[in-house]
Amino acid sequence: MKDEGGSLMTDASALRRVLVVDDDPTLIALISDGLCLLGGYEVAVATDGALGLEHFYEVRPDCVVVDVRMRGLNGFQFVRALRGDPETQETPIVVLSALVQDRDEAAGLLSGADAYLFKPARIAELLQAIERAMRLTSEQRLHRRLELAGVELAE
Amino acid sequence: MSRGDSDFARRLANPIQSARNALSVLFVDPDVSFAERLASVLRATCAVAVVPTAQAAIAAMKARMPNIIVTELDLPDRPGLELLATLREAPATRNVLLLVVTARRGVADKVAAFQAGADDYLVKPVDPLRFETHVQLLSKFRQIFPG
Repeated sequence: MKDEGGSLMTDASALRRVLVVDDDPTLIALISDGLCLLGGYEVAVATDGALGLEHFYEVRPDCVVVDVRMRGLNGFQFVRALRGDPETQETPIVVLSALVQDRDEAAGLLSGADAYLFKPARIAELLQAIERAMRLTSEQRLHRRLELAGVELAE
Repeated sequence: MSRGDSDFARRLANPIQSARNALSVLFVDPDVSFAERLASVLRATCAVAVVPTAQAAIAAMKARMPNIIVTELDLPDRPGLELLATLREAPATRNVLLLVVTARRGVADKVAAFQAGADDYLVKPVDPLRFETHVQLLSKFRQIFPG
């Protein structure tokens, strides 16, 4: 589709956006290409947690993929910053990390991530995690967090 | 790859009753009625105190050191960020969980708070059920990463 000036345009309203926050430029390029080519996503990137949070409000992505070990804010802090604000608490979030111990995955889920993937992750797996995260309703996400927290709803 | 996170999540969800019952929470907020509303969801299972200023918070800590401090950033007698940094650096309070609950929603405030030592950052208005969830999740996180 072209605009009046003859330049190629994409229908931005049809594209879903993913924000990738990772300090590894090689990995960012790989993930971005994969999400764009295989998933049809529009991809925005940031290379540290603080910039990622700023960029989030500029881009308003449909999902965030975030590393853990980063400058500025680490991934757990980034996730908590989003989950702690009523305006952003329902953001689908996938953590993608080289930290592969049980406790790291636990930390990610307890911080509020919808999924925790270990690097290196196949693009297909990342795409599945993104799609699952985006399908979660706010009720499902809250229920999951209540379950993790061991909080019982009053009758 | 990921593990079957549903199984893992179920294991994480096991209530840690002994930790919950031992929790002591100090609220620092000049809007005492707001703080009392949040405190009320924890009173059944935690020892709770509410104070309006940083100075009162310091005095309360000397009487009983809390496990968790919930603080607004806009305090009448001292910047909340400064209080956070002081608490995080002091040996006596280094491992206390620090939650910010504030009306400030700017990115710079959030980044500054985490960098000053906050463990979590909640923007007002805060739903009491979500607040309780944040407290419990943070407590479990701290059990994994003692700090």
